[in-house]
Amino acid sequence: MSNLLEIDSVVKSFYMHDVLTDIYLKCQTGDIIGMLGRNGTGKSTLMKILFGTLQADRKFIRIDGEVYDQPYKIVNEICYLPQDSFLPKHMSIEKSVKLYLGKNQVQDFMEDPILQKLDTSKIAHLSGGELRYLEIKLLLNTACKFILLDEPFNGVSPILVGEIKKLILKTSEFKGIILTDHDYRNVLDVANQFCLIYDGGIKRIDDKQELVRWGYIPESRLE
Amino acid sequence: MVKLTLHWEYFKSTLVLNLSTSVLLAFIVYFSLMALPQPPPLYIVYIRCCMFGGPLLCLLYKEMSRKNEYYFYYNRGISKLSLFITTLSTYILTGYLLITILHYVKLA
Repeated sequence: MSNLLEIDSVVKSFYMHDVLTDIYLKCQTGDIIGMLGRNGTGKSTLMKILFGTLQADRKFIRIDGEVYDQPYKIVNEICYLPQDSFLPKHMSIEKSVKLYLGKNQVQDFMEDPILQKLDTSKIAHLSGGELRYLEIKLLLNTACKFILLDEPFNGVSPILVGEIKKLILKTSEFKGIILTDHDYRNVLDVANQFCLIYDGGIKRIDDKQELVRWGYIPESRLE
Repeated sequence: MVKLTLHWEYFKSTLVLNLSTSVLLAFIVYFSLMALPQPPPLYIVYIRCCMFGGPLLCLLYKEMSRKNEYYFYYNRGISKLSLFITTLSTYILTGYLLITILHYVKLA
Protein backbone atom coordinates (compact mmCIF):
# COMPACT_ATOMS: atom_id res chain seq x y z
CA MET A 1 0.00 0.00 0.00
CA SER A 2 1.28 3.41 -0.94
CA ASN A 3 1.08 6.31 1.51
CA LEU A 4 1.29 10.00 0.76
CA LEU A 5 2.67 12.82 2.89
CA GLU A 6 2.19 16.41 1.78
CA ILE A 7 3.33 19.58 3.44
CA ASP A 8 2.22 22.88 1.99
CA SER A 9 2.28 26.64 2.65
CA VAL A 10 4.95 26.40 5.34
CA VAL A 11 6.00 29.80 6.59
CA LYS A 12 8.41 30.22 9.49
CA SER A 13 10.32 33.22 10.71
CA PHE A 14 12.68 33.75 13.62
CA TYR A 15 13.02 37.28 15.01
CA MET A 16 11.62 38.97 11.89
CA HIS A 17 13.90 36.88 9.67
CA ASP A 18 11.99 34.70 7.21
CA VAL A 19 13.56 31.22 7.23
CA LEU A 20 10.94 29.32 5.25
CA THR A 21 8.57 30.99 2.84
CA ASP A 22 5.75 28.98 1.30
CA ILE A 23 7.33 25.52 1.15
CA TYR A 24 5.66 22.60 -0.62
CA LEU A 25 6.97 19.05 -0.36
CA LYS A 26 5.45 15.71 -1.28
CA CYS A 27 6.71 12.29 -0.26
CA GLN A 28 5.23 8.88 -0.94
CA THR A 29 6.13 5.29 -0.18
CA GLY A 30 9.29 4.38 -2.08
CA ASP A 31 10.62 7.95 -2.15
CA ILE A 32 13.96 8.81 -0.63
CA ILE A 33 14.08 12.57 -0.79
CA GLY A 34 17.50 14.09 -0.26
CA MET A 35 17.09 17.59 1.11
CA LEU A 36 20.16 19.74 0.69
CA GLY A 37 20.98 23.28 1.70
CA ARG A 38 23.60 25.42 3.31
CA ASN A 39 23.87 25.85 7.09
CA GLY A 40 20.98 27.83 8.54
CA THR A 41 18.71 27.53 5.51
CA GLY A 42 16.02 25.77 7.56
CA LYS A 43 16.35 22.05 6.77
CA SER A 44 16.06 20.92 10.40
CA THR A 45 13.41 23.55 11.03
CA LEU A 46 11.33 22.15 8.18
CA MET A 47 11.73 18.60 9.51
CA LYS A 48 10.65 19.61 13.01
CA ILE A 49 7.64 21.46 11.61
CA LEU A 50 6.75 18.41 9.54
CA PHE A 51 7.14 16.17 12.60
CA GLY A 52 4.97 18.55 14.63
CA THR A 53 7.32 19.51 17.45
CA LEU A 54 7.97 23.03 16.15
CA GLN A 55 5.22 25.51 15.52
CA ALA A 56 5.22 27.30 12.18
CA ASP A 57 3.65 30.66 11.41
CA ARG A 58 1.61 28.78 8.83
CA LYS A 59 1.55 25.18 7.68
CA PHE A 60 -0.61 22.48 6.20
CA ILE A 61 0.30 18.83 6.75
CA ARG A 62 -1.64 16.00 5.21
CA ILE A 63 -0.98 12.25 5.48
CA ASP A 64 -3.13 9.97 3.32
CA GLY A 65 -5.77 12.67 3.03
CA GLU A 66 -5.97 13.38 6.79
CA VAL A 67 -4.87 16.81 7.97
CA TYR A 68 -2.68 16.90 11.08
CA ASP A 69 -1.38 19.72 13.22
CA GLN A 70 1.11 17.56 15.14
CA PRO A 71 1.59 14.31 13.19
CA TYR A 72 3.99 12.82 15.75
CA LYS A 73 1.09 12.36 18.17
CA ILE A 74 -0.35 9.68 15.93
CA VAL A 75 1.68 6.52 16.55
CA ASN A 76 3.31 4.94 13.49
CA GLU A 77 2.59 7.80 11.08
CA ILE A 78 5.91 9.63 11.19
CA CYS A 79 9.25 9.26 12.97
CA TYR A 80 12.10 11.72 13.28
CA LEU A 81 15.83 11.22 13.83
CA PRO A 82 17.15 14.47 15.32
CA GLN A 83 20.70 15.71 14.73
CA ASP A 84 21.84 14.66 18.20
CA SER A 85 21.32 11.34 19.90
CA PHE A 86 17.83 10.84 21.34
CA LEU A 87 17.99 7.46 23.10
CA PRO A 88 17.91 7.90 26.90
CA LYS A 89 21.37 7.20 28.30
CA HIS A 90 20.09 5.34 31.36
CA MET A 91 18.30 2.73 29.26
CA SER A 92 19.60 -0.61 28.00
CA ILE A 93 19.71 -1.34 24.26
CA GLU A 94 17.33 -4.25 24.68
CA LYS A 95 14.81 -2.17 26.62
CA SER A 96 14.76 0.57 23.99
CA VAL A 97 14.24 -2.02 21.22
CA LYS A 98 11.45 -3.65 23.22
CA LEU A 99 9.69 -0.32 23.71
CA TYR A 100 9.94 0.61 20.04
CA LEU A 101 9.39 -2.70 18.28
CA GLY A 102 7.83 -5.03 20.83
CA LYS A 103 9.17 -8.00 22.76
CA ASN A 104 8.88 -10.44 19.84
CA GLN A 105 11.19 -8.48 17.56
CA VAL A 106 14.09 -8.00 19.97
CA GLN A 107 15.90 -11.20 19.00
CA ASP A 108 15.61 -10.59 15.24
CA PHE A 109 16.75 -7.01 15.68
CA MET A 110 19.77 -7.94 17.78
CA GLU A 111 20.92 -10.60 15.28
CA ASP A 112 22.46 -7.78 13.24
CA PRO A 113 26.26 -8.49 13.02
CA ILE A 114 27.11 -4.88 13.97
CA LEU A 115 24.95 -4.97 17.08
CA GLN A 116 26.22 -8.41 18.02
CA LYS A 117 29.78 -7.10 18.09
CA LEU A 118 28.89 -4.57 20.78
CA ASP A 119 30.48 -5.42 24.10
CA THR A 120 27.95 -3.46 26.13
CA SER A 121 24.24 -3.54 26.78
CA LYS A 122 23.98 0.09 27.91
CA ILE A 123 23.23 2.96 25.54
CA ALA A 124 25.50 5.26 27.57
CA HIS A 125 28.52 3.07 26.71
CA LEU A 126 28.08 3.10 22.92
CA SER A 127 30.35 5.15 20.66
CA GLY A 128 28.83 7.99 18.63
CA GLY A 129 28.78 5.95 15.40
CA GLU A 130 27.33 2.82 17.03
CA LEU A 131 24.64 4.89 18.71
CA ARG A 132 23.73 6.59 15.43
CA TYR A 133 23.49 3.21 13.68
CA LEU A 134 21.28 1.81 16.47
CA GLU A 135 18.97 4.85 16.37
CA ILE A 136 18.59 4.74 12.59
CA LYS A 137 17.98 0.98 12.52
CA LEU A 138 15.45 1.33 15.33
CA LEU A 139 13.47 4.04 13.54
CA LEU A 140 13.61 2.29 10.18
CA ASN A 141 12.25 -0.89 11.77
CA THR A 142 9.20 0.79 13.30
CA ALA A 143 5.87 0.57 11.53
CA CYS A 144 6.01 4.33 10.75
CA LYS A 145 4.90 5.24 7.24
CA PHE A 146 7.37 8.13 6.95
CA ILE A 147 10.85 8.62 8.39
CA LEU A 148 12.66 11.93 8.68
CA LEU A 149 16.43 11.60 9.05
CA ASP A 150 18.34 14.68 10.10
CA GLU A 151 22.06 14.19 9.42
CA PRO A 152 22.09 10.38 9.62
CA PHE A 153 25.73 10.12 8.43
CA ASN A 154 27.12 12.64 10.90
CA GLY A 155 29.99 11.20 12.95
CA VAL A 156 29.64 7.72 11.46
CA SER A 157 32.58 5.67 10.12
CA PRO A 158 32.62 4.80 6.37
CA ILE A 159 31.73 1.13 7.03
CA LEU A 160 28.70 2.08 9.10
CA VAL A 161 27.73 4.71 6.51
CA GLY A 162 27.57 1.88 3.96
CA GLU A 163 25.38 -0.19 6.29
CA ILE A 164 23.09 2.76 6.97
CA LYS A 165 22.69 3.37 3.24
CA LYS A 166 21.75 -0.31 2.74
CA LEU A 167 19.19 -0.06 5.55
CA ILE A 168 17.66 3.09 4.06
CA LEU A 169 17.42 1.56 0.58
CA LYS A 170 15.89 -1.64 1.92
CA THR A 171 13.32 0.17 4.07
CA SER A 172 12.28 2.60 1.35
CA GLU A 173 10.28 -0.18 -0.34
CA PHE A 174 7.72 0.19 2.45
CA LYS A 175 8.20 3.75 3.64
CA GLY A 176 8.75 7.29 2.49
CA ILE A 177 12.03 8.76 3.66
CA ILE A 178 13.20 12.36 3.80
CA LEU A 179 16.83 12.87 4.71
CA THR A 180 19.24 15.71 4.98
CA ASP A 181 22.99 15.69 5.52
CA HIS A 182 25.94 17.93 4.75
CA ASP A 183 27.74 14.87 3.40
CA TYR A 184 26.01 15.48 0.07
CA ARG A 185 27.83 12.64 -1.72
CA ASN A 186 26.14 10.08 0.52
CA VAL A 187 22.82 11.84 0.07
CA LEU A 188 23.27 11.76 -3.72
CA ASP A 189 24.12 8.03 -3.50
CA VAL A 190 21.08 6.98 -1.57
CA ALA A 191 18.27 9.38 -2.52
CA ASN A 192 16.06 9.01 -5.59
CA GLN A 193 14.77 12.60 -5.52
CA PHE A 194 16.55 15.78 -4.55
CA CYS A 195 15.63 19.23 -3.43
CA LEU A 196 17.54 22.25 -2.29
CA ILE A 197 16.42 24.76 0.28
CA TYR A 198 17.53 28.13 -0.94
CA ASP A 199 16.49 31.60 0.13
CA GLY A 200 13.49 30.30 2.09
CA GLY A 201 12.11 28.32 -0.83
CA ILE A 202 12.50 24.75 -2.00
CA LYS A 203 13.93 23.96 -5.45
CA ARG A 204 13.61 20.60 -7.10
CA ILE A 205 16.98 19.32 -8.30
CA ASP A 206 17.00 17.11 -11.41
CA ASP A 207 20.65 17.40 -12.31
CA LYS A 208 23.77 17.62 -10.11
CA GLN A 209 24.91 20.66 -12.14
CA GLU A 210 22.01 22.58 -10.61
CA LEU A 211 23.68 22.29 -7.20
CA VAL A 212 26.62 24.24 -8.63
CA ARG A 213 24.30 26.75 -10.27
CA TRP A 214 22.51 27.42 -6.97
CA GLY A 215 25.84 27.85 -5.21
CA TYR A 216 25.52 24.79 -2.96
CA ILE A 217 28.75 23.12 -4.07
CA PRO A 218 31.74 24.49 -5.99
CA GLU A 219 32.21 23.16 -9.53
CA SER A 220 35.54 21.56 -8.51
CA ARG A 221 33.74 19.25 -6.03
CA LEU A 222 31.32 17.89 -8.59
CA GLU A 223 32.42 14.48 -9.85
CA MET B 1 0.37 -0.53 27.36
CA VAL B 2 3.54 0.64 25.59
CA LYS B 3 2.59 4.26 26.25
CA LEU B 4 2.11 3.49 29.94
CA THR B 5 5.54 1.79 30.08
CA LEU B 6 7.12 4.79 28.36
CA HIS B 7 5.53 7.17 30.90
CA TRP B 8 6.85 4.90 33.66
CA GLU B 9 10.35 4.97 32.10
CA TYR B 10 10.28 8.77 32.06
CA PHE B 11 9.11 8.84 35.68
CA LYS B 12 11.93 6.47 36.66
CA SER B 13 14.48 8.71 34.92
CA THR B 14 13.52 11.58 37.28
CA LEU B 15 13.31 9.50 40.47
CA VAL B 16 16.94 9.42 41.67
CA LEU B 17 17.49 13.07 40.85
CA ASN B 18 14.25 14.08 42.58
CA LEU B 19 14.92 12.10 45.76
CA SER B 20 18.45 13.50 46.04
CA THR B 21 17.76 17.16 45.19
CA SER B 22 14.77 17.10 47.51
CA VAL B 23 17.08 16.28 50.46
CA LEU B 24 18.94 19.54 49.92
CA LEU B 25 15.74 21.43 49.22
CA ALA B 26 14.08 19.99 52.35
CA PHE B 27 16.92 21.17 54.59
CA ILE B 28 16.78 24.67 53.11
CA VAL B 29 12.99 24.87 53.56
CA TYR B 30 13.13 23.26 57.03
CA PHE B 31 15.71 25.71 58.36
CA SER B 32 13.88 28.66 56.87
CA LEU B 33 10.68 27.51 58.68
CA MET B 34 12.43 27.07 62.04
CA ALA B 35 11.32 30.55 63.11
CA LEU B 36 7.66 29.47 63.01
CA PRO B 37 6.04 28.62 66.39
CA GLN B 38 5.27 25.06 65.21
CA PRO B 39 7.56 24.11 62.33
CA PRO B 40 6.52 21.00 60.39
CA PRO B 41 8.62 17.87 60.96
CA LEU B 42 11.58 17.41 58.61
CA TYR B 43 10.18 14.23 57.02
CA ILE B 44 6.95 16.05 56.07
CA VAL B 45 8.99 18.88 54.51
CA TYR B 46 11.03 16.26 52.61
CA ILE B 47 7.93 14.51 51.26
CA ARG B 48 6.45 17.83 50.18
CA CYS B 49 9.71 18.75 48.43
CA CYS B 50 9.58 15.37 46.62
CA MET B 51 6.03 16.22 45.54
CA PHE B 52 6.63 19.69 44.14
CA GLY B 53 10.09 21.32 44.25
CA GLY B 54 12.17 18.25 43.36
CA PRO B 55 10.14 17.22 40.31
CA LEU B 56 10.13 20.78 38.99
CA LEU B 57 13.92 20.97 39.35
CA CYS B 58 14.22 17.59 37.57
CA LEU B 59 12.06 18.75 34.67
CA LEU B 60 14.11 21.94 34.45
CA TYR B 61 17.34 19.90 34.43
CA LYS B 62 16.00 17.64 31.67
CA GLU B 63 14.83 20.65 29.70
CA MET B 64 18.29 22.18 29.90
CA SER B 65 20.60 19.20 29.47
CA ARG B 66 18.62 16.20 28.16
CA LYS B 67 16.20 17.96 25.83
CA ASN B 68 16.91 15.64 22.93
CA GLU B 69 15.72 12.59 24.85
CA TYR B 70 12.16 13.83 24.49
CA TYR B 71 12.32 12.66 20.86
CA PHE B 72 12.44 9.11 22.20
CA TYR B 73 8.92 9.68 23.52
CA TYR B 74 7.72 11.87 20.62
CA ASN B 75 8.51 9.05 18.20
CA ARG B 76 6.05 6.87 20.10
CA GLY B 77 3.34 9.56 20.06
CA ILE B 78 3.87 10.95 23.57
CA SER B 79 4.06 14.70 24.08
CA LYS B 80 6.20 16.54 26.61
CA LEU B 81 3.08 17.90 28.33
CA SER B 82 1.74 14.39 28.82
CA LEU B 83 5.06 13.31 30.40
CA PHE B 84 5.11 16.37 32.71
CA ILE B 85 1.51 15.87 33.86
CA THR B 86 1.82 12.15 34.57
CA THR B 87 5.16 12.54 36.36
CA LEU B 88 3.98 15.41 38.57
CA SER B 89 0.66 13.69 39.34
CA THR B 90 2.45 10.49 40.33
CA TYR B 91 4.70 12.38 42.75
CA ILE B 92 1.81 14.39 44.21
CA LEU B 93 -0.47 11.36 44.66
CA THR B 94 2.30 9.21 46.15
CA GLY B 95 3.29 12.06 48.48
CA TYR B 96 -0.26 12.60 49.74
CA LEU B 97 -0.69 8.87 50.23
CA LEU B 98 2.54 8.70 52.23
CA ILE B 99 1.60 11.71 54.38
CA THR B 100 -1.84 10.17 55.09
CA ILE B 101 -0.31 6.79 56.02
CA LEU B 102 2.26 8.48 58.30
CA HIS B 103 -0.53 10.53 59.91
CA TYR B 104 -2.49 7.40 60.81
CA VAL B 105 0.63 5.54 61.96
CA LYS B 106 1.39 8.46 64.29
CA LEU B 107 -2.19 8.43 65.64
CA ALA B 108 -2.02 4.70 66.29
